[in-house]
Order: sequence, then structure tokens, then C-alpha cells
Amino acid sequence: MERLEFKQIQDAFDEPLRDFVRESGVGLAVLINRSGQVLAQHGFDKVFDLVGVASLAAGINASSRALANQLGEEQFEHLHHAGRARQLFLGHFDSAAGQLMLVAVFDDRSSIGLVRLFFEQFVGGIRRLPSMDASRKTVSAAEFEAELETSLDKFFHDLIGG
Amino acid sequence: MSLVNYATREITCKIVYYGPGRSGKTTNLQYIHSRVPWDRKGEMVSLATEADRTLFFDFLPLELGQISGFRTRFQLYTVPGQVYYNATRRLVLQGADGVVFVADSQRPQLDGNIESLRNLHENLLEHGIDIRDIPVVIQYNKRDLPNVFSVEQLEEELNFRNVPSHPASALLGEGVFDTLRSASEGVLKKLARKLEVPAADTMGEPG
Ligand SMILES: Nc1nc2c(ncn2[C@@H]2O[C@H](COP(=O)(O)OP(=O)(O)O)[C@@H](O)[C@H]2O)c(=O)[nH]1
Ligand SMILES: [Mg+2]
Repeated sequence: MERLEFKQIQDAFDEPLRDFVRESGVGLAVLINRSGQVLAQHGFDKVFDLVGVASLAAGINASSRALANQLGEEQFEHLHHAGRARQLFLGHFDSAAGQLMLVAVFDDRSSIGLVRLFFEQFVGGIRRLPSMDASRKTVSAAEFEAELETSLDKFFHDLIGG
Repeated sequence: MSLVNYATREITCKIVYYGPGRSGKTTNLQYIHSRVPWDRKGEMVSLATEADRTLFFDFLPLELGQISGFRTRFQLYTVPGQVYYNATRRLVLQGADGVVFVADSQRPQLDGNIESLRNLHENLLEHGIDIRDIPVVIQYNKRDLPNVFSVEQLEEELNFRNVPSHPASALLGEGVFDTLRSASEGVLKKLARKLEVPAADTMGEPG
């Protein structure tokens, strides 16, 4: 399996996402897995807004999938919600890292047609990435465990005050 | 499945509060939300019916701080407890790294606790997870109420695997953080074991 340097890992998801954002003209984009965990993002400047959007989008994806199953479909292709000023696109695809989902928010500087077009391209880009498993490990478990107690103590001390 | 991003040095873990309807899952999250300083938490999202019952889930992101140079984040979820919401419950359980089972200590609720625990086993199995493989802690909630079983009796009835357990009165905030701490520790210890790698495979710090 091909080894990747850190910089390459970081770029692995970031670069296709950046291309997608530039070409499709969306304002916000976030790549998440099925549990709503964030793999890459563009345009969010508050981390908790990002996490909120990601978890709700994962919820929509999961319930849409369950609904599809009940209706005898495997999964609906993508979801599109249009509001007055903003529109939301949720597109899912399978990858080496399991099913992933791209959530994009756009206004009239883009369109659903453009978003779909460049989504296809984005998916292709992600699928061409070499597997990243070999380079994932980088931390000493012992060190992590040793720090764990102290960190938890600190966090909960602040909250409970004792 | 916890997500470790070695590039940005972030860890994200998902903890699901499970249990029968009205056992106090949402109350746990509300208390946590009320006590954690603003720079350590996000919005609490509640997808509830008009009657204030959890419809889909409650969600609360928390920031624990740095561990071994990793920015560590928790996502707390609750499930709707009512029996007929099983499909939603199963969805929320997807990708969970740890479970807090919130039991209602009141005597008449024993069957509901047992049924919900059984349902947890089933739903985990649907996701291919054996309950022995995921950190679970039990909270015996509503200790402030009069008609409750003793903790020993509840241990006997519900805690056959001898997982960590904590008495609580979530409405008053008692035991809420003990429970969360215990669950966090279980989840992160398990994660630490997964981080272990032979030295040859270890890479340097990011540039
Ligand atoms: N007396 C008492 N009431 C509680 C406690 N925890 C929760 N409740 C109440 O039980 C009801 C159901 O709580 P909720 O958190 O919505 O339950 P959920 O269905 O598990 O999310 C609410 O009226 C809460 O105020 C507790 O520790 N003591
Ligand atoms: Mg609730």
C-alpha cells in the first residue's frame, strides 16, 4: 500500500473539496461520513456550526436511506432542498472510507445543475486517491493513555469544581 | 467509530444516551449544556415534538481539550425512548463509540428498562456490534424520587456484565458528570488501544 506524507493526507480531501467549491460556486461545503463526522470543510468559520450542520445532515441522510428502504429503493440519489435565498445539496457516494456525504450550501451564484455536475467530478477525484490506511498511525498509545486521566481530570474539574 | 484525523490532529467520538422513554436522557444533555462554558460547547440541537418528547435526537457537541496533542471532541446524542421510534433509534446508534444507558430507578419502570436494554443489544447487533465490544456505562437516574429500587437491586436486574454504573438525579445535576466522565474514559481508553502501532510504522510530527 502506498505511503502518504502528512501534507498529502491533509490535501487528500482538501484539494478535491477546494476544486469543487471553486468550480461549482457554492458558499459552504462539508465532507462527512455516515455518523456525521467531518473529514473536510470549506467556508465555515465557527467549528460548532460546522458540527451542527454535519450531524443534522447525517441524520437526514440516514432517515432518507431508511425511508428509501421501506419503499423498496436502496437509496435515493441525492437530496436537494431549495429555500428562498439558499439551497442545500446532499450527495452521498461510496469510497474506500465507507459511505461519505458531501453537503453543499449555495445561493443564486450557483445552481443545482452546476453543483451536481461538479459533485460527480469531486467523487471521481476522491475515488482516485490512494488508500491512506498505511500512514494513519502516528501516536504512542501509552502516552495517550497517560495523558488521558490528567486531561479528563482537568476538563471535569472545571465543570464540577471538585 | 471514532474518527482520528492524524493530519489535523483531531479526535471525534460519538456517545449515545440510550434508555426507555422519560428516563432522563434529554435532561442529562440539558444539564451538561447548562454547565459547560460556551467555548467548550456548541448549540444543543433538539429534534422534539410539540410535547417536548425527543422525536429524532438531541445533539450536543463538546470540546474536551488536548490529549497527546490531539484536539478531542465529543458528540453526545440521545435517542427517542418510545418503543415505536425504533427505526430512528437504530439510526442514531450508527457509528457510536460508547453508550450511556440511562435507567429509570422507579419501581414501575423496571420492565421498561429491561426491554430497552434488550433493544439496545438488538440494535447494536444490527450494526454488527457485540455489546461486549463497545464501552457501555449505566446510569440509575431519578434517585431523588421516593418509589425507587435500591442501586443493589438495579445492579442485579440490569448490570449483568458489570459495567461501570452511577446513581444520578439528572434533574438536579447529580451524577451527570460522573456518568459522562466514566463514558468518556471508556471510549478514549479503547481508542488508545487502537492507536498503538509498531515503532517502525510511526511517522514524524506534521510539518
Ligand atoms: N425527579 C426527577 N425527574 C427527572 C429526573 N431526570 C429527568 N426527570 C424528568 O423526567 C421527565 C423525562 O425526562 P427526559 O429527559 O425528557 O427523558 P428522555 O425521554 O429520556 O429524554 C422530565 O419531566 C424530566 O424533568 C431526575 O433525576 N429526577
Ligand atoms: Mg428525550
